[in-house]
Amino acid sequence: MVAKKRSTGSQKLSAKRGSKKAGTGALEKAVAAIDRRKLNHDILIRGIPIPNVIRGSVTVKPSQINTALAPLLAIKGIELKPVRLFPIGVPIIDAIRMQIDGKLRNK
Amino acid sequence: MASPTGCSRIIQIHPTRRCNLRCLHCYSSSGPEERDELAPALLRAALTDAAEAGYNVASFSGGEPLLYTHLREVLDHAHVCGMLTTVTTNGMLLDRRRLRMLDGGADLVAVSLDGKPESHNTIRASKRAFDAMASHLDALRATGIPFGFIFTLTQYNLDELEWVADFALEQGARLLQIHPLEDVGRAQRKMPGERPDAVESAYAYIEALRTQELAGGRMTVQIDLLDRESLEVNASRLFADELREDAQSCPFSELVSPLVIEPDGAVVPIHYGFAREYGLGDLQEASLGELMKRWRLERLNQFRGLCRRVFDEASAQTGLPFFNWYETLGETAARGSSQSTV
Repeated sequence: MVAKKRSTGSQKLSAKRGSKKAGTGALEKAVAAIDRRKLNHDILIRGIPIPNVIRGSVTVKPSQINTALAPLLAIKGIELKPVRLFPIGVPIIDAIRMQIDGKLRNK
Repeated sequence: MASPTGCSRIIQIHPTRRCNLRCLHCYSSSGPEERDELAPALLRAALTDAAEAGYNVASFSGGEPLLYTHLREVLDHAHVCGMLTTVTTNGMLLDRRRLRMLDGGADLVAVSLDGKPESHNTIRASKRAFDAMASHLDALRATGIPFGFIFTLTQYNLDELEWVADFALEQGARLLQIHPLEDVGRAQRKMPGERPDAVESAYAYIEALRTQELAGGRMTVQIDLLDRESLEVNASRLFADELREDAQSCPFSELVSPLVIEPDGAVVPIHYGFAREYGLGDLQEASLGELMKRWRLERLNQFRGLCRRVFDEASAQTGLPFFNWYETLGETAARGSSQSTV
């Protein structure tokens, strides 16, 4: 019998955060909030006919991770895939690119 | 000059390994059967020397420090020496008598809380651990002693941090400290593979920042992980900069903090169980002042070399830039020790 793989804390957290209901216009608000914080990003909102997918990356210093993620984590009803983190800088890491991939749940 | 503990110069004291619990993750493998205990006269003298060396915080841990019968005596002595005092406890024994003992003696009480009740009880190896601890929180709050919680982060419990933070805020805690599980002591046998990896540490770092934002000024959230960006600009905080010219005469607390006194009298830098190769020696054989003097002459350079080596290795890594400085330093020191004894 194959043992069931135990979920890590962050995997359980992602699953839990994805269980909330969706809010209207929340994706646009989150991206606007990231814009206001002058962070380097290429996040796009997609979805036809209803824009309900958010995808792209933000590149930040480690100390700015919260600034970048807070607006996204605050979106009600978003199902965020685990955020993928890429260290940038050789030999010294001085930035992180976070790959964001999320979708609003249907109401 | 800064240190990993900021402007606090901490002497961490483990007066006993006796404990009412036998927690799965205990770094000192403490338990009810343990009887190691430091004589109060020895500790008072050490506190006097520590204060003269510039240490300004005496932090009591264990074992369960509430089971150390001379706790109030040494807390009072730390105050006489001008130090602030903290006591870290599992909270189960905080009855009225012990709260009276702490009132006026402890400036901060840190209570261990390792997740939701079921998780807490599992890691504490006691079905009563959470209920017994929680039943004393009203009385603890009523004393007015500032208190906080310490959460041990594992590979599998980050999802419980939000619950822990809410619970801490409800209880009026002023501090939530998140400490990653270290692969030492009983944790090596009882919780193998549960130390948070780089990815989980990165998520935890993010969650800690988020939790702090939500808590605002009501509670300080501290995570014992360092990001490499901070490391680069704070070599002096990690004792990895050039050794200062007055290293043989400056206050000792500016050379090492935390300094740790273990229940058998061993004095080591940074954390419990640190490789003896870098230790100061045994309090049973010489005073702390004498041990500090010898260490400065014989081991300071070796310790600084270790810090510098770990700093350089950490700076050059290409993985995610979050790590536990204390653990990394301790592991490197232990590796060096085992290699040198082969």
